Formats: sequence, structure tokens, C-alpha cells
Amino acid sequence: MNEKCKKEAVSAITVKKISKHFGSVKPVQNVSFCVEQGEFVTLVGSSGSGKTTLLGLIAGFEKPDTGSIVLQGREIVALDEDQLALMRRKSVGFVFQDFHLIPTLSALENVAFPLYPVKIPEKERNERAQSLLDQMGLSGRADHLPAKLSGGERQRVTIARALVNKPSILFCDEPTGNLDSTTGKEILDLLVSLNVEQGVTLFMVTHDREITKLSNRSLYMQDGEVTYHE
Amino acid sequence: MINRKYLISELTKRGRRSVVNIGMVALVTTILICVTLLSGALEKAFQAPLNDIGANITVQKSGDVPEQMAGPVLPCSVAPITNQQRIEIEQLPGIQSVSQAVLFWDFSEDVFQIVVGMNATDKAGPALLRSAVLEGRMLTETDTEKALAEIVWAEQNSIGIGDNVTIGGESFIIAGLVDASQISQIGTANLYIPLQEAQLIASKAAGVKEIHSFEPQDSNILFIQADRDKTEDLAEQIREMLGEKTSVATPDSFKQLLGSMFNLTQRFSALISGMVFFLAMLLVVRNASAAIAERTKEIGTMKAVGWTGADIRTQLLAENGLYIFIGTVLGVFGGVLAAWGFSHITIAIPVPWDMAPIPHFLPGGAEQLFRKVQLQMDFSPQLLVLCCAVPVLLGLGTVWSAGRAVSRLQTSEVLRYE
Ligand SMILES: Nc1ncnc2c1ncn2[C@@H]1O[C@H](COP(=O)(O)OP(=O)(O)OP(=O)(O)O)[C@@H](O)[C@H]1O
Ligand SMILES: [Mg+2]
Repeated sequence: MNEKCKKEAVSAITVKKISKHFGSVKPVQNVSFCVEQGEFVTLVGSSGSGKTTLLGLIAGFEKPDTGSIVLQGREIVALDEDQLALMRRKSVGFVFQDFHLIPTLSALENVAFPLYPVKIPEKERNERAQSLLDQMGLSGRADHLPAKLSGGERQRVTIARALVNKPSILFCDEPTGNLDSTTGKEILDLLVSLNVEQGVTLFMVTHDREITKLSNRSLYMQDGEVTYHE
Repeated sequence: MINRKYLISELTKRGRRSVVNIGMVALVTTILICVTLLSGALEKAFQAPLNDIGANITVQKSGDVPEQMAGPVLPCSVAPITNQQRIEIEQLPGIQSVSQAVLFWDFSEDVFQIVVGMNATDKAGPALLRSAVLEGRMLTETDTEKALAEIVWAEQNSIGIGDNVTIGGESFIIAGLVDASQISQIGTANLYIPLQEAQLIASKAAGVKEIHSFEPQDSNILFIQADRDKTEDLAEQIREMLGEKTSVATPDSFKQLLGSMFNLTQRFSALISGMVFFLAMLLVVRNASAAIAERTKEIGTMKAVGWTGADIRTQLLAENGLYIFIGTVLGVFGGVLAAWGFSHITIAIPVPWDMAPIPHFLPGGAEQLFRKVQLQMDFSPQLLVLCCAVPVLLGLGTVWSAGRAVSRLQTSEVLRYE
């Protein structure tokens, strides 16, 4: 099943036979796949096929009914909520379709947000956040509240926030879904460059067949099941 | 670890929510302080008329008056209390002291005067006039044929120190002028003379003999000092001992005098207390639902970016703790301000005619006497406990609701957009 991972031991994501149901709805059924370190994998499928549910399972937002999920060599199915949170803090970044920025915090503070519970000096934290904003081309927007930013700018802040903990895996759920095509293209280029230049593993849910062409590999999903595609 | 920046941002950038939360805590605190202070002050105010004369119980009996008002007569509300009865009362457990007084009206020739006989050394009753002497001196234990005159009456009748007055046919010399308004109106008179002389005058007077038997040791008003917690029980016992026509006054009976009005204020304060409780509950529930509804998305984001349950709870607690702290400080401030306002309120407690009988045909005789009491604000330890209890209770409510909010929320909710 997982012939795509040559060395499973060093894979970024290894999913084996996971299933999830909500009542009679079965959005994820017996799914297995593997993602290598530094890979860019897209997950495509029609609306309602279970992509977001699968992503939530892998990121530890939710527990599968059965099966095993190994992230960075660690089995996460048995972890409790706090252990999962700490796992995400340590090695996972997340980019949402609708940003999920804290409305009362400035762009800089939003980027630093995941580090608030972490004991690091405020100066270092702010420097890290500022340099990420610079990298996202938002040097001049550090003090702006999310409401004062455009959609593309908000998504850049979200990406900067996802990177502030130096994750090895970046999960994205339709990161360009709420953006116009030009802005979407810019955001996508940014993510691809993170993958290519910094070796961040990129796992992206998308509707957009164009995006799949940029990725190393695509997983197709249909009625809760994953079919492989190169 | 609490993030100061996030805390301040939530407080300042969600102005409306902060104002509502802080305002509600402040309101609850202020109202609780007001209700407590007011009910304490009223309770105290009703003790004032009796406190003025150093007693917590007064005893009188009622009887008839002669047809012909001539010479010394006993007003209908001060029939004799025998010496034997006084001794029996004195022996009741809880009684500390019993002071006797004799009050009579003296109609002689074309003069009318109210006269009270008292023991100058008593702890309660008119003897407390010793602190109200304006001119001359107080009567002493050994004084005979000496009298104190009430200053307003003395001025009206052009009577001064050293002047002679005739009371029940006997001659007295004015030794001092007193301001009786400084003690309560209970048992006030125009002239005050030694008890034994008053007892003698009353026992010999035809107008008294016609109706009562009055022995030279008897009296007609008792001023009693008793253990405070036994006051009402003792009043009941005395009523039983002396029979139907006895009227026993205690702070409670002043409350009953105000009757419906005081009952109204009591019901009112019960209503307010109920409302405060309701408000407090509302606040807790509001905080709980606010934490869940307003912050659901944010709590989900926190979880998604790696905040643990404890991290989130700490944050929510710190925010609400800040609201509660600021609200309590403002509420206490408001309470102190209100207390200052209340302390300027004067209430008038009616003193029944029976306790200060004046013939109705005299000018002012039919008017109700009042003891004006300025409300007194006592910042008691209980109040401090109360002030602390509000924030502590609210804090506990918040802990509970924050915990619930965090554990209820599925992290996966962040993936579901509206
Ligand atoms: N918490 C839930 N409770 C009940 N049903 C759910 C829940 N989450 C997802 N579903 C159902 O599971 C199915 C798959 O949903 P999911 O969001 O994973 O699809 P998707 O592929 O991401 O679709 P889209 O492309 O529209 O985002 C849907 O039918 C959805 O209604
Ligand atoms: Mg989806």
C-alpha cells in the first residue's frame, strides 16, 4: 500500500488504514498513504469527498475511529489533547482557508501568537515574527489589525504564523480558496518556495487542478477513499 | 504563562464587552454594599430613641384619668407600676439594671407643667440629662427641693437658675437648665425633680388617689438595661408579668411602629438582594456563554496552533480575572460613594405619644413627636468578607465555565467555516 515511501522510518506522514464516521456519514474510509520528508503533496477531490476531515485527522485535530497515524516518527492516535497541542507546537504549521487570525492582535502579534505560551524572551519572539513578516513582504504591516489587511495579506500573516515555530510539516486547507487568482498565485509561489528552499514538507488540500501540477504528487479522494496518482 | 499583550488587547480592543463585564461586576458589588450598609443603618436607627436614654427596654402601663384635671394627675399612658413589680422585673435573668421614673402632669392655678422624678445617679432614663446641662448643675443624690428646668420651657416662662417653682404645692429651687432635646423624647418633661419627692407628691395627690393607689415607692416608667440578645424575650416576659395594659418598648417595637413602611423597606431590600443574586448569576452565565460563543473560533485557533488546555484556561481566567478585579475596585468605590450619600439621609422615627404624653389641649400636644436619626454607615468586617466573596465566587464561576468551554470545543471546529 505504501510503496510511495521508500524509507518509512524517516517519512513525514505515515497513515495506515484510518477511518472516521459521523453518524451514518463516512468521510474517511480505510485510508493509507505516506508522505516523505520535504515532499509537496496535494490532496484533491470533489466537495464533500472527505479532504478536510482527513487533514484534521492527520493534524491531530480529531481522532480516527481506527488505524494509525505517524507524524515525524511518532504515533499520534493515542496522544491526548494536550500532547497533540504540544506536538503541533513543536513540529506542525497550519494554514486555513479562512485565516483564523485573532482580531484584537496586530499582524506581528498574530504571527507571534503560537509562541505566547512558550518561554522565550519577548524580544526574540518579536524578532522572529518580524523577520517572517519581512519574508512574506509585509514589513510595513506589522502593526495593522487583521481587519485592516486585504485577503492576500491576511493569508501571508497566516503563513508567517504557521512558520513561527519552525515546523517540519505545513498543512494547508485550500489556502487560496478565499483569494482572487492573482493573489492566489502569489501565495502559492510563496508556499512552493518554502518547500523548495527550506525543505518544509507541504501537505495541501485543494480543489484547483492547476495547483496539483506544481506538487510532487497528488492524492485523489473520492467518497472517503484515496486513490493514488502521480 | 499569561501574555500581557494579548490580555491588554482583549481588554481594550473589545471595549463594549469589557465595559459590560466590568460594569456588571461593579454594579453587583455596589448594590451589595448599599443593601448591607442600609439595612445595618436602619437597624441601628431604630435603636436610637431607646439608646438616647441609655435603655433597651422601657415599661409603662396604661390607666384612666380623673374627670377633673386639677393638681398632679397621671396621664393615661403612665399608670403606676408597683415597687414589687419592679423588683420582680429586676430579678429576671438578663436584666442588668432597672431605673424608675415618675411622670405626672401638674395643673395648678393657671399653670400647667409636665414633671418627671428621677434618680440623679441612674444609668438610664432622664438621669442622662447630666450630659445636657446648659446652665447651673445636675441634681445630686442628696438634693432635696431642687429641680432642673427644660431650657425652652424655662425661657418661655421666664424662669432662671435660683428661681422658685411650685410643683404639686411644694416649692422647688431651679438648680440647672437642661436641653432635653439632646436625649430622646421618651419621658421628657418641663421640670425634673428627685425621684423620692416626685413619688411623695404623686402618692398624696387627690387626682392620683381618685383613680390609682400609688405608694411612695412606686413609679410609672421603667428604663431597663438588658442583654441585647435577650431584649425581645424579656419584653415578652415583662408583658406577661404586668398584664394586658402594659406597653413595653424595644427597638423592634419602633420598627413595628413604622409598620408598613418598614416592612416595605425590608421587603424592598429582600427584593434587591434577590436581584443582586440574579445579576450575579446572569454575569456568571454570561461569562460562560461569552467564553464559548464569542471565543469559540479563537479557542479553536489557540488549540490548532499548539496551545494546551491549561494555556487557554489561564488566558481566559486572566482576562476575566482582570474584569472582576477592575469591576470590584470600581464597585467598592461606587459603594463608598453611595455610602457617603446615604450618610446624609435623615430618617424620622415616630416616638409614640404614650412615651411622652402631652395634653392634647396644649399647643403642639397633638403633634407626633419624631426622633430624627442620621443614617450611620458602618464598614463592618462582614462587609469586607462580602466584598471579597463576590469576586471569589465570580472567579470560581469563570474557572468552571472556562474549563467547560475549553474541553467542549473540538479542535477540528477550526476547519469548518461558516
Ligand atoms: N463534524 C461533522 N459532523 C457530521 N458530519 C461531518 C462532520 N465533518 C464532516 N462531515 C461530513 O463529512 C463529509 C466530508 O466533509 P469534508 O469537509 O471532509 O469534505 P471536503 O472534501 O473537505 O469538502 P469541501 O471540498 O467542500 O471542503 C461531508 O458530507 C460532511 O458533511
Ligand atoms: Mg474541505
